[in-house]
Order: sequence, then C-alpha cells, then structure tokens
Amino acid sequence: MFYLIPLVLSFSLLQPWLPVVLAGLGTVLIGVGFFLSPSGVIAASVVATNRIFGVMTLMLVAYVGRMFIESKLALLKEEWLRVGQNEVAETIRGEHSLSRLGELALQTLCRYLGAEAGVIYAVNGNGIFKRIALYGLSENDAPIPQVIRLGEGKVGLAAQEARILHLTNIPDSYLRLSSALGSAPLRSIVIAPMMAEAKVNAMVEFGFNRAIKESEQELLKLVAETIGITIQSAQNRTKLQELLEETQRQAEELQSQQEELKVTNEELQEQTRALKESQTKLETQQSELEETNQQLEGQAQTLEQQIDTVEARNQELNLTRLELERRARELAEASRYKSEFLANMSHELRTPLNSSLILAKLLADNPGETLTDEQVKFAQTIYSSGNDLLGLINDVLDLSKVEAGKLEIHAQDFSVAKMTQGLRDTFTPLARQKGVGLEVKFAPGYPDTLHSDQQRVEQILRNLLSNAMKFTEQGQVELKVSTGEVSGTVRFDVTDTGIGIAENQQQVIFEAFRQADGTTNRKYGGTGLGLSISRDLARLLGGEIQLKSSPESGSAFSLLLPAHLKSNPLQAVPAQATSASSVATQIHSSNPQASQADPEKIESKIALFVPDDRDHLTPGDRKILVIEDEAPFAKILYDLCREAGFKCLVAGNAKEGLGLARRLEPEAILLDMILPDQSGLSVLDLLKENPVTRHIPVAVVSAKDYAQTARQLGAVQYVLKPVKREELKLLFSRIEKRLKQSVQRVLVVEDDTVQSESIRALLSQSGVEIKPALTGSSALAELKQGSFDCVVMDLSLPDMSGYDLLQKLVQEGVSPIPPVVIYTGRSLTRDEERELLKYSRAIVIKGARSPERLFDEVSLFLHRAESKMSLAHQKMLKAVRQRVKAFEGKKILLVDDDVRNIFALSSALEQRGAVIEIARNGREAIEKLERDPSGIELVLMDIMMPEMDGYEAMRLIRKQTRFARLPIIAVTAKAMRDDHERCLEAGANDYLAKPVDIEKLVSLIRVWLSPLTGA
Amino acid sequence: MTLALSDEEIDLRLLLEAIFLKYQYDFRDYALSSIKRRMAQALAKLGGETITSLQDRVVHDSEFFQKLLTFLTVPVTEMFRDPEFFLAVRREVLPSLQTYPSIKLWVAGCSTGEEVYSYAILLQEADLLDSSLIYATDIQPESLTHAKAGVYAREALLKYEVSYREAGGQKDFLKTYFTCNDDQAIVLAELKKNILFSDHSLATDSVFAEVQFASCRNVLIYFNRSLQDRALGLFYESLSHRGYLALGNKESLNFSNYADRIETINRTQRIFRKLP
Amino acid sequence: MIEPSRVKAVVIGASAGGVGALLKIFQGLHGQNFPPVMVVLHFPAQAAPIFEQVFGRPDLQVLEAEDKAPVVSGAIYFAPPGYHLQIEPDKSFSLSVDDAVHFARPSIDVLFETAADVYRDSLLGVLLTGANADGAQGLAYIERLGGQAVVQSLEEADSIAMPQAAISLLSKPTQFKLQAISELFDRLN
Repeated sequence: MFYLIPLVLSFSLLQPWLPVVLAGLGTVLIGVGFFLSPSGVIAASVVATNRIFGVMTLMLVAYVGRMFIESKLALLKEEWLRVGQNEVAETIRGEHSLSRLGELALQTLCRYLGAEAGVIYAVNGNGIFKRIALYGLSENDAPIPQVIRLGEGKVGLAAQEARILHLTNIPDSYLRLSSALGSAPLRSIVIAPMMAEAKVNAMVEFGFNRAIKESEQELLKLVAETIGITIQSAQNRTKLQELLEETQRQAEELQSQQEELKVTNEELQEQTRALKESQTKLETQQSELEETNQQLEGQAQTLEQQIDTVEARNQELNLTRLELERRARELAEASRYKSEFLANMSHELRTPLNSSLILAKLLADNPGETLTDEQVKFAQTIYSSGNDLLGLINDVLDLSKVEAGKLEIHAQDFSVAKMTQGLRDTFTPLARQKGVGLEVKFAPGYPDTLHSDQQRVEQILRNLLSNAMKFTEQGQVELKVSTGEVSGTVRFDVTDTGIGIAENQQQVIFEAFRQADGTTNRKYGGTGLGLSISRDLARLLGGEIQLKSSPESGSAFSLLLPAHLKSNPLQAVPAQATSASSVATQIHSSNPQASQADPEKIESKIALFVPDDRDHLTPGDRKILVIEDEAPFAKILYDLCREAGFKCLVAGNAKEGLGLARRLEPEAILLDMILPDQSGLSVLDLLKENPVTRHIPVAVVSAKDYAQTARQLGAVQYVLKPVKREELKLLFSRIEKRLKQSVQRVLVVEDDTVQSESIRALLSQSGVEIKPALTGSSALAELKQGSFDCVVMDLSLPDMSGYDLLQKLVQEGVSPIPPVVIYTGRSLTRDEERELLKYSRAIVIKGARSPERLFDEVSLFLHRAESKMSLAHQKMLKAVRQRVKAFEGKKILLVDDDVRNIFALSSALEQRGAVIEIARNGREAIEKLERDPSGIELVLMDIMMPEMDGYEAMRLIRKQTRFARLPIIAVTAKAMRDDHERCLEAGANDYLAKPVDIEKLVSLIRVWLSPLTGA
Repeated sequence: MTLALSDEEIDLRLLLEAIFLKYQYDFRDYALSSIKRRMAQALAKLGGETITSLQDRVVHDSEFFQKLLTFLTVPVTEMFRDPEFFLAVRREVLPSLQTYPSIKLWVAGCSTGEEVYSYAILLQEADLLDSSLIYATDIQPESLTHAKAGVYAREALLKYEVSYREAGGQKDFLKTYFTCNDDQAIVLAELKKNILFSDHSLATDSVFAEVQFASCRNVLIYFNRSLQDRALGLFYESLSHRGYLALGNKESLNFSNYADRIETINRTQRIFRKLP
Repeated sequence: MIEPSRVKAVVIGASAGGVGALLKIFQGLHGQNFPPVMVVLHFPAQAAPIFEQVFGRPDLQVLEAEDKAPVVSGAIYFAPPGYHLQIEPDKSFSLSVDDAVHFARPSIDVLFETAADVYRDSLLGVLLTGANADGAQGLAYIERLGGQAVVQSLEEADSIAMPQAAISLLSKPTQFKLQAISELFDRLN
C-alpha cells in the first residue's frame, strides 16, 4: 500500500503515463514481493488475493490518476490558449498603424510562445506580401525579404495553401540565433497564415531554438482570425484616408479650373462686345473716308495745276542756268585773256618806263651841274614816282603771270644765312628811321642750305617784312628761321608788334586788289597786291603762308617751305589752305582754267606723271586702272600691278580715270578717295551708275572715314592709308581670285535626262552655269578639262558607280577636286555612308524635300570662300606644304562617332605625317586594337559615344596587360575637374577638353609619343 | 552698371557659389527668382531657417546636397507635351531630315526622359529611328537613371495617349510602344536602342557632336541672359548646315545675340533653323 | 492713403469676374508714361491668349510678357497662360513652369512676391475679384516690404473670396471701388 503514495504524488507531475508506469512498476514489485516473501501466518491465497487487490487498486488509481492528469492538462492547455488569445486581442486592440500592429502582434506572440525571432508580412495587392515588422532581429542580421509572393518559398507556400508549416531539420544556412557571446542554429520554424474570412491577410514566421508543441500551433490557428481581421481593418482605414485626401484635392482643382473657364467666358463676351463696337466704328469711318476722298480729288486737281506751273518754272530755270553757264565760260575766257594779255604786256609796259627811269636818274644826278636845285628835285621826284610805278606794274604783272600759270620757278641751292643777311641789310635803314627794332633769329638745327627759288623766297620775305614795317609804329619786327614741324621743311616767322589784323579781315587781305579796309592804302601806301602774290608764290614753291593776328597785339606771318623743292615744270593752283603735313608731299596737277581748255593736252601732260601701259595694250590683256593723284604712290601701285601680272593704267585725276574706265573697261579699279577735281565717292558713284563700268570691282584706297559709304556704294575692298606693301599684294591676289571666280560652274553628273533637267532648272535660279554629264567617264573628262566650283553627283551611273568615279578622280590626280554633293535615290548603309563621307560631307537622299536641301548645299559651296576645294584636295595641298612632320609614320587611333570631329582631327594629324585609324565607338576601338596590337602607338578617345562610351572602352583596354602602357588621350566635352579625374581613373594618360585646340593637341600627342614616355 | 544687391541675393549667390566650388554644378547664372522660390521650398521641406543654413549644410554634407539638387532642377515633364509642337515637327521638320542618310539629335535637359521617348516615337513612325542617334543630356544623375530605365506609371500613360493622338499619332499607343503590367509600363527596347543618355551641363561643358536637330524646351527660361547665350552658342556650334533648333513655346531668340544668325520656321511652335 | 507719387510699378491679380474689372480700371491709363503695369489673370493653359484684342486700345499698349524682356513703362503686361511670371532683380521678366500655386499657373502670389522683392516700397499691388486663395499672401508680402496694397471693395466684387482672404491678412486693408482704382491710375500717368 505504500505504492499508492508515490503514485498519488506522481499526479502532481502531470505526466499522464507516469501513474500507469508507476502502477505497472508497483504491480511488478507486489508480484515479486509475493514470490519472495516467506510463507507465514497468513495463508498464501489470502496474501495472493491481498496482493491482487493491491494491484487492482494501483491500476485503478493509476487509471483515475491518468484521467485526472489528462483532464488537468487539457484544462491547462485551454487556459493557456485562452490567455494567449486574450493577450493578443488586448494588445492589438485600438487603431494602430499597420506596422505598429504588426510589431505588437509579433511581440506578444513571440514572448508568449517563447520564440527567439519572428517576422510578419501583410498582404499588399494581389498575391504579394509586404514585410511590416520584425522581432528579435534587425536589418543587419541577415537580409530578410521585404516582399514575398504567393507560392514563393516556404512562406509563400504556406500562404497559398493557407496552412501552418512546421519545419524541423533546419539547414545551417538559415538565420542563426546569436548573442554577444556566441551563436547557435535554429531548431524549428513555424509559419502560420493569419486569415480573415477565409482570405490570408498576413503571414507570420517564428524561429525557435527548440521543437514546437502542438498547442503552440493551435494557438496560432486561433489567433489567426483576430490578427487577420485587425490587419485588414487597419489596411482599410489607410485606404479610406487616402481616398479622402484625393477627393479633396480634386475638388479644389476642379474649382480652380471652373474659375479659369469663367474668366475665358468673360473675355469672349468682352471680345464680342468689342467687335460690335468696332463694327460701328468702321461704318462711321467708311462715310468719313468717302468724304475725304472727295476732298482729295479736289486737291489732286489743284496739285496737277501746280505741277504744270512748276514745270514751266523749271524750264525757265533751265534756260537761265544755261545762260549763266555760258556767261561764266565767257567770264573765265575773258579773265584768261586778260591775264595772258597782261603777261604778254610786261615787256611793252616795262620798256618805256625803264627808259624814263634811267633818264630821270641821269637828270637827278646832275653830272654837269646844269640844273637848279629845284630842277634836280623835280628829276628825283620823277625817278621815285617812276620807281613806284614800276613796282606796281611788277606786282600786277607778277600776279597775272601766276594766275595765267606762266610763272617759272628755278630751284638752286642757296644759303639761308646769306639771304637773311641781305634782307637785314635792306630793312635796317628803314627800321632805324621808324624807330622800330629789327631782329633776325635762328632756331637751333635750322637748315642752312635750301634748294628752292631764292629770288622768289626773298620776294615773299621782303613783302612780309615790309608789311610788318609798314604797320608797326613802335616795338619790333622779328624774322625767325627754324625747321618746320614736318621733316624736310623750313619755317620763316615774321612777327611784329603792330596794329594787328581783325579776324574777319584775315582772309580778305590775301585777296588781290583788296585791303583790310579801303583806307589802308592811303595811310600805309602800297597796292595791296603783295600778300596775294606772296601766297601764290609760296604755293608754287610747294609751301604756304599762315597768319596769326589780333587787333592791337601785332601779327605773325609764317612762311612754310619744303627744304628741297623738286624741280617740276608744273604750276601751282590756288587751292584751299591745307595742314602742314600735306605741304611736304603734295603737288597737285592741272588747274581749272587749263583743264577746261584741252583734256587731251592735259592727259598727255599727266601721262608723264606716271608712265603707264595705255599705249601698249593688246586684246585679251588683263588690266587694272589706278586712279591716284600722289605720283610716288601711283608708281608703287603700278609696279605691284605689273608684278602681279596685270597691265596697269594710271590716272591722276577723276576725269581722266572715268574716261579711261569707260574707254578701256579694265578688270579692276583701284581708287583713291581724295582727288583734285572730284571726290572719290562721286567717282565710285558714277562708275556704278554707268552700265559699261558697273560690273568692274573697285577697291578703295583711302582714309577710314569713307569705308562705310564706299562699301554701300559698291566698293568691294578698301585699304587704309598708309599702306604696307604686303597689304597691297594681298589686295592684288584677291582681285586675281575674284576675277577667276566671276562665273560659277556646276557639273551635274546624272544619267536620267529628266532628272538632270530638273536639277538644272533648280540651280540656275542663282545665276550659275550648269554643265550636264550623263556618264562617269564624260564627267571625268569634263573635270580634267575645265574647272568647276561644285559637282552634283548621282551614285548610280551607267558606266561606273559614283563611288568609283570619286576614286578615279583622286587616282588620276584631277586637281583641284571641287566640292561634291551626292544626290542619290537609295538609302545608304552605315558603311556606305562612311566611305562616301571621305569625299563629300553633303549627301542628299532624294525625297519630297530634297530639292530644297540640294539647293542649300550647292549654294553653300558656291559662296563659301574657304571651302572652295574638297577636303581631300585641301588635305593634299596642306600635306605638300607642311615640312615639319612631327608624327611621320606614327599610327594613331581616333575614336569618335562625330564626322565633323573626325575630319578636323584627322586632317590636322595627317598633314603632320600621322597615319590615322578610325573607330566609331568603344567597341570598334577595341576590335581595331586587337587586330593590330603593336601597330597603334596612341589612342585619341572621345567620351560620349553610342554602344560603348569612352570610359568603358578605356577600362576594358587597360584590363589587357599588353595595352597597359599604350598612351590614351581622352577628348571630353566636359569641363569640370571631377570629369577630368574620371577620365584619368578610367585609364586615360591625359585629357583634352573641347573645343580642341589643334596646337595643344599636337604638343600633347608629341609628349606622349616621345620615346621616353610612350609605349 | 552694377545693381545694388539685396541681402537675400547675396545669400543666394553665396549658396550657388558654394555649390559650384564643392560639387561643380554651376547654377550661378540661373535666373534668381526661380532659384529663390525653390530654395524657399527646400527650406520648408528639408528644414532650416535661412539660406545660409543651407549653404552650411551643403558644404559639409554631400547627401544633403543630393536632396537639395532635386529642388534645383527642372520639374517633371510629360510625353508629347504641347501636342501641336510635335505635330509641327512631324509635318515640317521630319520630311527635311529624311533627305539625310543618317541623322543625329540632341535633347538637352531631358529630365526623366518623357520628351526623348516622344521624339523617338515620332522618328519611328517616320521610319527614321533606325538611322538616328539621339543624345539625351541632363545634369541630374537621378533623372538620367530614371530616363534610361524608361519606366512610367500606367495612369500617366493613359493621359499621354491623348496627347499622342493630338500630335498626329494613330497607333495603339500603349500596345505598340510599351510593355505594361497593372500599374507600370516600360518603354520597349527597340525605342531605346538609339538613345545615348549622358551627363552634360550647358553651363560648363562644350559641344560634343554635330547634330541636325537640337531641342531644349523650357530650360532656357531658367537661365539668365548670359547663360542663355552660352547655351544657344553651344546649340549653334553643334548644328550642322541648316540644322533645326526647337525651344519651349514661350522662349525666343529676341533677347539673345543669335537673332540674326537663326531664322524662324514656325513662330508659334518656336522651331528655328540655322542660317547659312 | 495711397500715394501715387511713390509708385514705380503696379501689379494686379484677378480671377473670376476679372475681365470687366480690368477694363474698368484700365480706363484710367493712357499714353506712354505710366509706370509698368503687370497683370496675372487666371486663364486655362491651352487657350489662345487674346489679351491684346480684348484690352488693347489705340492709346494703350497691351502685351504678353516675354521671357527676358525688360520691364518698360507705358505698357500693360499680361502673364502668358500656363507659365508663372516673375520679375528678376535687373527688372526683366522671367517665366517658369514650376508647380502650380493654389492650383494656378500663372499664380498671382508668384508675381506679387517677386515684384515686391525688386520694387519694395515703390510697388502698388491691386487684388480684384476672384474665387480662389491665390494672391492674398502675395499682397500681404507686398505690404510687409513697404509697398502699397489695394483690394477691390467687397460690395462690388463679383466673387469675394480672393479679396476677402487678402483683407484678413493685411494689416491695413484699403478697399477701393473700381472707379476709385481707375482714378488712382489716372494720377499715375
């Protein structure tokens, strides 16, 4: 019976099998005890029966105990489940956000179940579960998927089948449980769906470090619904919120749009109203207009009458003008006659007077003492009056001689000092008599020897000095000699402290037969001719007279002369006063009276001016007309002209120039703006007006002021004076070029005659000569024979392809090859395009808009000066001229997909001797390198390319050790430091930024190709 | 002639200078009012009281700059925006481009790519896409990534379809050019294959290729005159003989130095052509 | 009191009912010497702008503001539909296609704020009838920077929401009837 005690006690352990086992054990022990116990007092059968009862009791108790334990266990489990459910329900109650909800649910369950780790996913759209919370893990522990699809992995499977999965045998690769001190693998995992209304809303997965009990699985089943529903409502709440916000926003937007529409409406209404108003206005205006019309008609009639009157007046005026012109001519003639008469009269006048003077002198001397004192005095008076008269006649004759152009100048060397000494001697007595000082001064460096007409110089100075003396009562008169401001000139200043001359009189006194005021003559004597003679003489000597004076403060007359007068039988003209600088260089030709007299005579006179070719012309000569009045400059132009291979005609004035231009129609004209008889601009104007000379290109040589106007009038060039020889040479070569280009010729290579005709029609609009060629060989022949400015070429020709023709042109050395526009009907492959691009940048595919394009491209070639030659030809020429071949024979790989860049870089490098390989993108570059690994010595790599950009290409190239030392220069459009570093990091040795400076590029390449740094 | 700068302007210019010095993004010649407004928005969204605080954070925190950058760059675009413009391109420009054996286009300020793909569709429908190469450039690396991917919300595409029709399109827009799922769609590879997306700044970088058509719409309005001229200069140099230029429908050459070298082909739609 | 002599520039904002209001107040403007007047009138983006036809007169120049054009006196400028209109510190216009403000592009706030930054106390802001919130903050900003602010009288306005919102934000709200605004403009010539 003591077996009962342990048995009963064992109930508390709540293991259902324990009582049974113990009971069994007890039975065995009783049985054993029975057989082992000594036979004694009590009968064996009683003992046996006792034992049997004992066993039965044990069994019974065990059975009862077991039942008791089982029900207790069940209750406990129920309790556990219930508490669990409640806890979960409690915790997730309330309106939490989805993630918070997940957290709470997970937390509660994990703690309750004693799980090490957990994760929960909520459904998000069809068949996708999104992770909303983690427990016992952080993002960093292991990548736990954010999204799981239905059927994906274990969780997806569980979701799909909506059942709980329990996994044992967890492979080690799973998440390990870890703490700071160590880690251990998971033992079991349970995955459970959370459902609401038979739909899976969420999935949970827990990880345990022990196996899972069934009760735990059951708990999960029970809470599934609670959690599922709560999650669903959380999701619904969010959706609702979103919709609400959206609706609100849309409402506001709608309102705003409605407002806008309202405004449009208003505007339209307003517009209608405005239109109606303007309608009414228009009608009123209409009637007003009619009225005005009538008025206007009346006015028109009046106007017509007025016009008639005006025309009549005009006629009158014309007649009057003709009359005036006639009279002016007569007057000029008369004046000329008078001068000539006077000049010729000199002899007639002076001879008798001379005789009188001699005789008077004789009498005055009274050698025989025959006359009385009074009679001697009479003789002296006759003598002195006669002298005065002689002086007067001399003056008048001088002046008229000068005006008639008959005064002669004799130039010799003479000493200034001597001359001034003579003058001083002459005037000193007079000065002493008047009580006025006379000084002669010399400035340091003055020219002592002059080459000029001494007599006339003296005459001028005498005149100035005597005037100074005349008009000075006190003070002094000074003559100063110095070098003029312009080199090669001398300056004589005569200053006095006399009465001075008012400004408004200063011009007058130089005019013949006039004095400052009529009374001067009477007070001071003299004829008043002196100054005008002096002025004319000064001009003849190549100089001028200047005056500075004001009343009461004296006067200063200055005579400026060239120190060396060029002997020349030409005569002076009374022209306007010019500045000192012109004194030294200009000699003007002709004078108005003379030129009217006889153009032929003048021409022949001026032809001596600068000898030219007008008499040596043969038909077909190319001639240039120079209209320039400065003889030395004209000569220079003549020489340059001949040098340039042209015959040259020289005219010294406008009239002659115009005459020659009209008569001989030169190929070009060089025109000075400043001419003696007319302004250069008016000459230009006349040239352009006259249909005979209109087309002749005119280059203007002059000062800047005229450039704009000259251009507007039609000059093609202008050159600034002073001109350098090189500039002039350039001018001539430009004229040469221009002449060659006067007619533009286009060759159309097209076998279809209809097509050819339409192209001709298209292009002849621009005034161009079109030559058709129907076959490749005839085109070749044409190009060999003559020169063309442009070629339009079809690709499909009967005897060869257009491409073949182009190659033939190069092979057979046709030079220059004109620019080619390819005009073709078929679309081209990339390769074909690339081949053609070697010869032509302009490829036009026939289509709806191609005529416009064709016209554009041809015009471009015809008018652009630089690209007159095809690129191939230009390259050839440049290659010939370039002597320094820095990259002789070096092979450079150019990687770029832009045709323009390729042309620019390759031509620059080829002309320095490099051999160029081209790749259009990174991939091609690598292919080319692999085909010729040791041949290519340097790579120029553009960055922005399709298929494979520069960075990638460089990286790949550098991966191969054989290219590790190959110099690569990156060419980049990007300017920032970072980008350049990128280039270097990707493997470039160096970089160059666009736009590419060819010089920089060349020096950079040179650096990288030199044996010390290169591959 | 110097203008008196307000304190605000000084702050803004310092900020832009800092950005340039540190990150080499050059916004210094952008029109100031837009910059000011966008920085105000940035302050509101990213936190901060003053422009100077932005300058401070920009210099010391490059992640912050990435965020700020999104405020500085041109807003989101649509496909076939201003359908009449695309219609005009279809009718007036493409026939001319058909006379070339191959063509290149440059779309500057391509943002998230909608405009580029619009052009690609136009070219495809004119049978030109195979012989074209489109350079699409922008300064925002994020936008370029987005553009390269070519993924757009399906909802948006439904709107674009309407514009596509107004621009003369007659195909089934979604089916022909996209692959769709429930809420997104991706541009077909054959439309993408001739487009080269690249980082390029109109303020600092140079011409990189010769193109027959350059498009830059509603970007120049954000530049000041001097930067606008620089950008126009880049386009001018890039354009081949008689190449085309397209601008936004309120942009013009009237206040630039290029008015006499570029002629107007279509005034309303702002399509221009380089003069010979 | 509004001082016309201080005014070097005028900005106006209007929405529903604005056409009639603008016509009325423009009667006070004529010739070529009034300070520049810049207007944002809410308008759908796709509509063709007909500002010149509606508001122009032989003696009054009305234009659509152009990007980068200088602001010049003697002209009335309208913001182009679909674009924000801004004033740059160098007194030229700039346009923007940034997001709509209060669902409006062009937005009155944007014009008012940028103009206030440039013209400060020599700016006159006028807010007329409208059913939208756009413009109220802008006008308050103008006032804050020393400029003068006028709101159309609530009695008279077709839609009062816009002027009302402005009045609540201004510290010294001045309500004018259209006739009074027109007379004020007249004194600006």
